[in-house]
Amino acid sequence: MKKAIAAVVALSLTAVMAGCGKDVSLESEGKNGKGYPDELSIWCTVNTNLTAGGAKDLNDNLFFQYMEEQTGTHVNWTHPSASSAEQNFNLMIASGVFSDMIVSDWSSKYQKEDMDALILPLGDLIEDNMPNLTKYLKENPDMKKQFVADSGEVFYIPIIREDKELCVYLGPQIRKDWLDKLGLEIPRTTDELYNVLKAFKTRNPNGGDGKDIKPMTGTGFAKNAAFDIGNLLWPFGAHYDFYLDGGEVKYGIMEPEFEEGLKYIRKLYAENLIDPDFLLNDRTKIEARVINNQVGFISGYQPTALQTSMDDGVRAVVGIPHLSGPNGGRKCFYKNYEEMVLNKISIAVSTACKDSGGALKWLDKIFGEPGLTYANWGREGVSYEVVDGKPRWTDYVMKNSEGRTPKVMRTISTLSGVETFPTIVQFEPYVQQLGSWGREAIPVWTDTADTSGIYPPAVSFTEQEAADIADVMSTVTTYMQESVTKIILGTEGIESLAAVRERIRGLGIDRIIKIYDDAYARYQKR
Amino acid sequence: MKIKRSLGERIFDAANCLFLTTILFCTLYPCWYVLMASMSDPNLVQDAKGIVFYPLKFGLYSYIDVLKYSQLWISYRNTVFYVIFGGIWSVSLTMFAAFALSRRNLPGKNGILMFIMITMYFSGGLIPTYLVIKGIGLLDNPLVMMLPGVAAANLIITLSYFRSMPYELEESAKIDGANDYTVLFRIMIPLAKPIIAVISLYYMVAIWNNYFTGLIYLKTRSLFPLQMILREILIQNSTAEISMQTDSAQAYAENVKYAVIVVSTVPILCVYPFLQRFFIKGVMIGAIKG
Amino acid sequence: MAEITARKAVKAPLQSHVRWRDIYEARHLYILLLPTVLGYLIFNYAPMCGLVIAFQKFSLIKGVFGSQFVGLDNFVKFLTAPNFWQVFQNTLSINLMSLVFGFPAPIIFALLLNEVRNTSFKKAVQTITYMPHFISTVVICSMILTFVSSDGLINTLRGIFGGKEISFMSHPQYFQPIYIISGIWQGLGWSSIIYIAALSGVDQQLYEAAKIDGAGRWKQLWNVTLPGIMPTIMILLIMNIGHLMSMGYEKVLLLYNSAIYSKADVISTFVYRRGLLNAEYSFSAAVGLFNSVINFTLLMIANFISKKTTENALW
Repeated sequence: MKKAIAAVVALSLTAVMAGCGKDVSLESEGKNGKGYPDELSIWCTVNTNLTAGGAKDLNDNLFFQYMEEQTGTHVNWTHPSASSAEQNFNLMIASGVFSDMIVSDWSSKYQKEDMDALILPLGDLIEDNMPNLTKYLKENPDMKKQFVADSGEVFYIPIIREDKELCVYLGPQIRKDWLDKLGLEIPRTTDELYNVLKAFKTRNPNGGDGKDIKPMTGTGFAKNAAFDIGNLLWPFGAHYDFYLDGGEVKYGIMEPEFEEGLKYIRKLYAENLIDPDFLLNDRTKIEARVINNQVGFISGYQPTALQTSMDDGVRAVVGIPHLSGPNGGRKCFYKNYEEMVLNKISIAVSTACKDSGGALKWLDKIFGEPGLTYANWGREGVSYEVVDGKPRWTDYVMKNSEGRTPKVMRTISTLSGVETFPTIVQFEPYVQQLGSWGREAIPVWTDTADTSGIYPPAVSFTEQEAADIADVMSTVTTYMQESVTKIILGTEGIESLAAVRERIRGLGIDRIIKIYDDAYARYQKR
Repeated sequence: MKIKRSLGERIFDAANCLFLTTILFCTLYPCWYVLMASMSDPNLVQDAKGIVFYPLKFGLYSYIDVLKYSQLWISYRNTVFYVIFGGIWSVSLTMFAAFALSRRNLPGKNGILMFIMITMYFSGGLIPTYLVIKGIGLLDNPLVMMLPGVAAANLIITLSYFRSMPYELEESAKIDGANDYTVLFRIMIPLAKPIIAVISLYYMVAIWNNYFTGLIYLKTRSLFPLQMILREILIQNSTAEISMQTDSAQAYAENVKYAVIVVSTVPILCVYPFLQRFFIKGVMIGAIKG
Repeated sequence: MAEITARKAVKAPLQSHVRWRDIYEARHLYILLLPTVLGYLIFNYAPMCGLVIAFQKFSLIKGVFGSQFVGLDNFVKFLTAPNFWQVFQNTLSINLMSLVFGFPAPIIFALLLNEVRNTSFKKAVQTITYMPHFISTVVICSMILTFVSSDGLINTLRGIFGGKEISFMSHPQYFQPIYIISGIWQGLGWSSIIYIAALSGVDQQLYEAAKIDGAGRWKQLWNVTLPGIMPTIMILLIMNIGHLMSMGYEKVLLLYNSAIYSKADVISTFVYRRGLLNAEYSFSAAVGLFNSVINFTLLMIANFISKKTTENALW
């Protein structure tokens, strides 16, 4: 009951403020009266780094404290639990009571029927109220293309990454110390990888009896996860999902290159070069095997334990160039590499917001100076200091006296560290915190990845298209995974591939490829 | 009168004990594993492939993480509160309803039973239930953790128990002038100790383990039950992996899973022995004679 | 639990029609029932209007009353899905096998425990065996996977006894046994509690009478113990049959992988995967309703058969 009264008071105050003149001046630092709402309610998840850092909600974050000081706007946060975020989102809609601004995966939602009852179109509002963002988008039209709707309207503002290298955080890695021990070179092609894996298996680089060595490990096929065994298809120019080839959309298993790649994986598995339990693996198990000296090659995230201990020369898990196949190409299909705009985490303004202009004005502070620096670095003197004209993290962040990790400290000091709220993420603050191997791996991966085949993650489907895709693909994907896994394991021969393709064709894959084609064409035209 | 146990009986007893002891170890080992793993280095645990008899590289880091977590003790207190009051409420209502439904002279009892049974099978789903709860004003209210009172399954078990109690009990009491309440409170409940113990256990465990209700209906952190907080600890860093960094807590995430189980289960294990004596000893319903 | 014979002998004469006087006489009973019935009305029946979602093309924004009515479309979508028969069969077979093996297990366990004379041993066994119930599904599945992996505990034991290493989770035929056996193992102690409670309620005097008549332990079991707990057994059996179509997705999801879908994919995981691609409330509501109807029908049938054969029934 009390909460209801508070909400009503807040809303009416906001309404009053909205009435009192919307100031459209540029860069106005200042308190109320300059167009910022008195109160804002924002719905967004946070990851538990925040509470680990001792914060109750985002108002304890240094950046948002700065925001409140500068604008006088008090934010009432609603933080649903991350694990049930989707459910809580649906319940919020069902209840009919919306926060002023909502952070969610809007790219998959804004096309649903009647969404205009929930969120406002932002195109004009941004022009009128967000000079910083407007300027930024004019200078970077490619960014705008990634989150604008096919119709040209804007419904949400996502996380924007300034630098391509921010998107490259996974790739092939190998135990350099094992290579050195066995006198081998870093493998650059699939054939070289085969030889290296064989050497790992037969020559006991971990000093043991070799029985527990799994030269390569990963997770089940076509799960679209980081450590997917299917990533071995890529040097052959094949993939297990939808991809682009010369502007045309293709579906992995239907293409001829798929067979080559599959034969390769099958061979590796048959000769025990792949972890026999790969079907049961998840990230934790994989990391454990790497740390326990059992694995030589993985393709995915850097093991957690090695991210902070930079001097662990014992297990030198080093990033290597993306492999090339017999035809030379170095294709890489990690969707993340192309995600300079993270649509999954975007903010929209709901129809319940009484002062949408003011809310966006408030938001705009993040996109221009000095807000942008604070968003990425936190507070000068507390979380960062300027040394020789360049910002550097302080010990408060890097070597926190209470033993908290840099990542936790970043989460409570900066906006970009929160990772669940839109902002422009800069590269420098991020890279300064990385361990040495991680830092070295990024340019290696970026330079050697041919990402031209990646189907843009920013493409959006209409509601009907999404329903059709779900209808067909839920069956196709399951079937494809099952059949290919059997071929890899050797339960079925490679000849069965033809029958599998036939069945998938019969399930309606061509219709779905056409949908992907159409959606892509619309994306191009934005 | 001492009856000599035949050889056959002795063999049976011995075999029985052996068999039960085997089951004992089979069920004990995984619990022991969890306990040991909670105190070990998680990577070594993975390496051990399932054979862990003592802590590998002993360390209480995950316990420290869990017990230091903000809100943990508040949520412990909350859960104890919910369990006690919710348990009393649920058990009472179940007893009353089961008693009433077991009386033969209740017109329409089958209809009412059917009315209740249907809810076990048909449900409107999460969204309609949420809207109803919201409509009554129970959102973010501690009562929501205790209210939806009677579980149909427990009601059925209690009902069955009451039905099997001899009719003479009620008959003789009514002849002596007792009304239904007296029959219930003076006669039935004292004799129903085993079943009360069982459904108390069921309800308490259910409320203790319940995190879903809180997840959906509670917003104020200071009202959160234990399981919700523990869940939070567990999912640290399993969310959006959008950068190369993960928190070093991830390194112990596996460990924390085990510690969480220990922390959340130990209290229940302590409660159980108190209830156990109600159904190990054996209750005499000799009250019929005489 | 006292004898059924007592109940049979003193059956109250049933009226052929109910009079207002009877209702008045039972007024206290209705009062006792009132809070429960109210609770169900508010928390279960009010939301039940939501069942209509299964017949709609549900949109969260439009809500229950505004969404478009599509009749049986969602059911058709489910029943004509290419995998329908497979997931239906798997759900049924896992649950049926669980019933056949998993239902008697706690009963036998409770009976065996009952025969033990040493009370402290009895207590110890009982207290320890119910502990696995409290280990969360996530950890149980993680343990299972560790135990059955190619270098895990089971294979190590096989190696000691001369067997070959089997990669259990790559072959479909092992999934259901592993699922069922782990379920029995986890639930044995907990499920036996109700039977132990029932056993403790069997009138001791009946045992004495039987012993006087010269009955040995086996005869005592057959003639005193089993009939004494038969009502409990039958009621639980009926309720279990009424859940033959229900299976949560969590454990299967954690245990299965693409190599064993043919035996591991069940209705709930099928719906879950679809829901990941495109959250469809109507579809899952329809599937849920489908399951509920079958469950309820099975319940009625089981109740009827039980009434006719053992005189124990829910109504």
